Amino acid sequence: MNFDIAFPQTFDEAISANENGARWFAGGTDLIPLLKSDFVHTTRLVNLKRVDELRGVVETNDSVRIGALTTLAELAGHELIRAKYRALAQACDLAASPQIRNMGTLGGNLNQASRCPYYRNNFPCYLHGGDKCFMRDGENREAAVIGYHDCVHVHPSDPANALVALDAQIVVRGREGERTIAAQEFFRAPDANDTRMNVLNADEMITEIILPNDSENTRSVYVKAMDRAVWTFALASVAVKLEIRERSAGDSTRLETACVVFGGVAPIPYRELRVEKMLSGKEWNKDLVTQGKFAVLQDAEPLAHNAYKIRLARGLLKRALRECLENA
Amino acid sequence: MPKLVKTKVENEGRVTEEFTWVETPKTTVWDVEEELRVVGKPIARVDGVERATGAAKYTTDIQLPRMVHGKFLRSPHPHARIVSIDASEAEQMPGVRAVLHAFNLASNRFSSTRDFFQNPVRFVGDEVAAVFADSDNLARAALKTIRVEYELLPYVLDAESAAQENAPQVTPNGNLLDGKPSTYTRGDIEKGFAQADVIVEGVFTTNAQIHSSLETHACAVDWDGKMLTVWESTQDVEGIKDRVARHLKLDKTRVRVIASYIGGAFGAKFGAGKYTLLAAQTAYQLKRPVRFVLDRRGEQIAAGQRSPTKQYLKLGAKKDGTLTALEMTHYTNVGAYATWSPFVEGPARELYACPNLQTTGYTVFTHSFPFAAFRAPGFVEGTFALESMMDELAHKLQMDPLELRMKNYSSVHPESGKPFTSNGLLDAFQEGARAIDWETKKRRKQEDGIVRRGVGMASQIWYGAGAPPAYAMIRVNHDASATVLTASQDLGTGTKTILCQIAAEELGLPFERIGVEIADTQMGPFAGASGGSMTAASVGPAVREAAADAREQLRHIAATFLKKRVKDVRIENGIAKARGVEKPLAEIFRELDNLQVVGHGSRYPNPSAYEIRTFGAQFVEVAVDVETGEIRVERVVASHDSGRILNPLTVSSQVEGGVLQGIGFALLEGRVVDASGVALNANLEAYHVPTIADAPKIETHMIDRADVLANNLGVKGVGEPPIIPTAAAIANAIYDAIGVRFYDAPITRDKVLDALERMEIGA
Repeated sequence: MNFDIAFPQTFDEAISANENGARWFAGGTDLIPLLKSDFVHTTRLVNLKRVDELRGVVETNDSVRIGALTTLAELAGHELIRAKYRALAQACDLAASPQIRNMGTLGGNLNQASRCPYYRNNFPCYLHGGDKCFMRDGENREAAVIGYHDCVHVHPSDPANALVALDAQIVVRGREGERTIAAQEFFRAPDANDTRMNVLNADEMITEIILPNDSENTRSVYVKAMDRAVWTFALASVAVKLEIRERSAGDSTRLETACVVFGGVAPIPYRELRVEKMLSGKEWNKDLVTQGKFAVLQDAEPLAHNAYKIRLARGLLKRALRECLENA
Repeated sequence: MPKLVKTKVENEGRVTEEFTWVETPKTTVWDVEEELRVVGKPIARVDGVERATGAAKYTTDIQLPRMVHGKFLRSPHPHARIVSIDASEAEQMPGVRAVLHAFNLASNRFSSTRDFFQNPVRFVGDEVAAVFADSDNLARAALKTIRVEYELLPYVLDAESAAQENAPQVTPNGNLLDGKPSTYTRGDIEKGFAQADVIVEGVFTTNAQIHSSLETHACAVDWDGKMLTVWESTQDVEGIKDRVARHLKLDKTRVRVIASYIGGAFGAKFGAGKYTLLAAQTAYQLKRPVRFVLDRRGEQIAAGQRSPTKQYLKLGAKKDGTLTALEMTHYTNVGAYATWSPFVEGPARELYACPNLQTTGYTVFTHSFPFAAFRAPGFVEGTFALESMMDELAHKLQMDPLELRMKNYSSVHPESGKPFTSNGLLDAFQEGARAIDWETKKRRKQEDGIVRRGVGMASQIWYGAGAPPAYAMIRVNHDASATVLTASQDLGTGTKTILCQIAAEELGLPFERIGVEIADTQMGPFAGASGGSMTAASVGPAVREAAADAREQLRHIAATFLKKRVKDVRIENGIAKARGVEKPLAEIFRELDNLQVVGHGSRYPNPSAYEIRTFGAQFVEVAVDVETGEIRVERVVASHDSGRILNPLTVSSQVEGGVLQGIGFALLEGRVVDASGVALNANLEAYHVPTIADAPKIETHMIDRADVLANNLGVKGVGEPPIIPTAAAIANAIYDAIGVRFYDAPITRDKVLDALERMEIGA
């Protein structure tokens, strides 16, 4: 494995360095293993770590803007993010290991490759340009139960789920200029013809993530189930954003709107509109959680070994709602 | 007079005969009540700081000028005949020094049952070729150019299928080790079940557990024309020396093996590996140092594992809990290669006084990952099944699970009928039950909230007697400090520290004045492999003998100096004292200039009229979230009888490590194998060992009582016992919490959630 490496200082330099099959990278926590596995071939790497304009958290009147190079550790510990966008801070904190969170960036995390064990073990599957999904009829305990096409992998990112729930915008820039994509529109389920996991073009990079400046009545939470306590990808997870209003002083409170996004169950952050609708407009109290019927992932088509994810998703949603109640 | 003795040596249930040179013992056992100054004290590890700071040089740290680096090409197929290998491109790459494979190796014989490069290959990961090149990267690049033509052959991955008549053949001698199942019978099994009031049956499976040592198997070899030096991450420096010498047809005195620090072994690092012998022969031929370090994938697939098992159990008992019959059949999947079988039926045969018993063990070859010893091989798997089944029996009898175990306690060894040198099982029951408050907790009503707590327990029996041959020397240095010399090794258990403690105690020197040189065949005398919980009880007594020998010499020297009779001289804290006069040993030695005192000692045989075993019990509290299937082990009380405790710190770290690995086996660890025979989680990301966040409160309660019949220290092993009962205790606690019994380890989230769904428990 031989390559040269460029260290652009500005975004424009980074864009022009990206030619002849060069590869951008930020933390490198995913790209370096992919290079070592021979999944990615390049003779030129472009290290983005000196492009300072892509780093940091800025609060404006109507939004909070996060530079794509901001690390997961920075976001997990960021006071403003923790206060206003708790689900994102929690998702960053629950991702990977401390070492990876120190290196890994938000932009890189959203654009990481699949963790499907068949993909990572170099089976000639769709993601490798093959004509088959090996996980579908194989060891599919970790596979998607819903929202999949030909490939049944799940999107590995934790922050992605939080960003969809928080109604974030993702700003990308390429040779043709800049465009802003709703987080919900950014991710896509790979299929036989197009194996991309998101809508980025080859010449584009994520530059910024924009979070709306939500009202004080908004709260959010991210809950993740893993095979062990830490350092693994989600078996399932849920990001929830709730808007809660008091009708009048002393009166009961009402759940105005709810956004519920499941991770680990689909090739994209999976928004559960039915449950959102069910929750919206309800009295906001304990009974909602204990007595509510949560028919989550009703359209799921589980495979041989992953039906447990449906029950797990329901349990996580209830835990998330309880956490919101407790942290009122 | 010293004499030559041939004695039986037991290691993990396998008995061999060894010669040992036995000197007249200079020591008698430290009694139960003996007041000891250094032994038994919580002394921090002598090498703790260097390990923690990174100063310690591990095998993988060895870098020498002009070093050549070895790497393996591995089979992508579970069973295939290699038709041809084209390595011409690799051979022509500048800096590639050798490419070895089945068709060009002068002698392809690795062992009596294995070739270096087996053809046909027998599992995904079998070695196909090795490249030696000037850099690791170059070796990797060269591997990619090798073209291998395979003829694919039918394969079988599952043990029960492989044991069938028409299964694809794994070895030329069939698919069963020794060609037939191993059977054991005592009493009359039919009669036993006829006498039973209650019968329980269960089918259990356990998945593979992979050692996952942080330091992969590794060696570095340097040949200077006279001496071949091998650095190896190993549990057995002497074994490596022997093997490498035979392979290269060198005299044993011309091979030196060093294993100063070992980054994890757990049973997988006994013999010389293929990489060791190929590195040695390449270093010898090229006259250049060679380094061969398995990469992580190689470590996880080709360096051994605790083999998957399937166990059929049937227990019969009287209404009062007395066992009348125990029948057990197991299929143990030892993969493509194994020369012995993990003793899965061991706990069933030895733990309880059951008069009628029958076991049948199928040790089955398959086209999958080879077996290697792993911390209490067989007993971890066997105890999970046996102690889960006992728990089920107790519930069926509406009996306290602890009471059921006490009811079937065996005061003598149930097979041989011999008494034990010591047996602290009942004490461990009592102590563990007290610590966890068993009486209250077992009567707790099953909870009905989201998070439900439960308590469970399981017992343990294991070996750990230690044995000869093991020799040690004590060198008293010119400043009256002393050095322990023995070719044992410290796996990270604290061997160095306890040997210093023993020497300090016996010599009458302060602990700080003792150094230790081990894990170098050129430094100390033979001390055997470190495994089977043997080291403390094998090497420790020899060190004490050597220290006693040195102390006698010191007393003679001091007597001359103090002008007193020898019998009046004693040495305390480095000071020679006799009838009112005293002089520090350091002062005496200063005046004696180049005086050198060397003491030597050997381990004498174990008493033949007794059985030596370690015993223990663990009590576990778990919390199960019935909505998310999350199992949290909240507390583990580990109460074990390993005789005298030499150092409570090193013992509790052994217990904590064992319990953690037991938690991994119970809840997290397992190999995921695709139907194609490929291991899907051959890395530390997808294979889940417990992290510190998974660690519960672990409380060590040792029954610290010297085994005065076992050896001069009264010590038994402690390395393996703590991993043995953990999984069953956890499974039993889960049953107590939610009323669901799990028969398959590891008990992962999907199994828990599926069971909760099936049983309509919780939301």
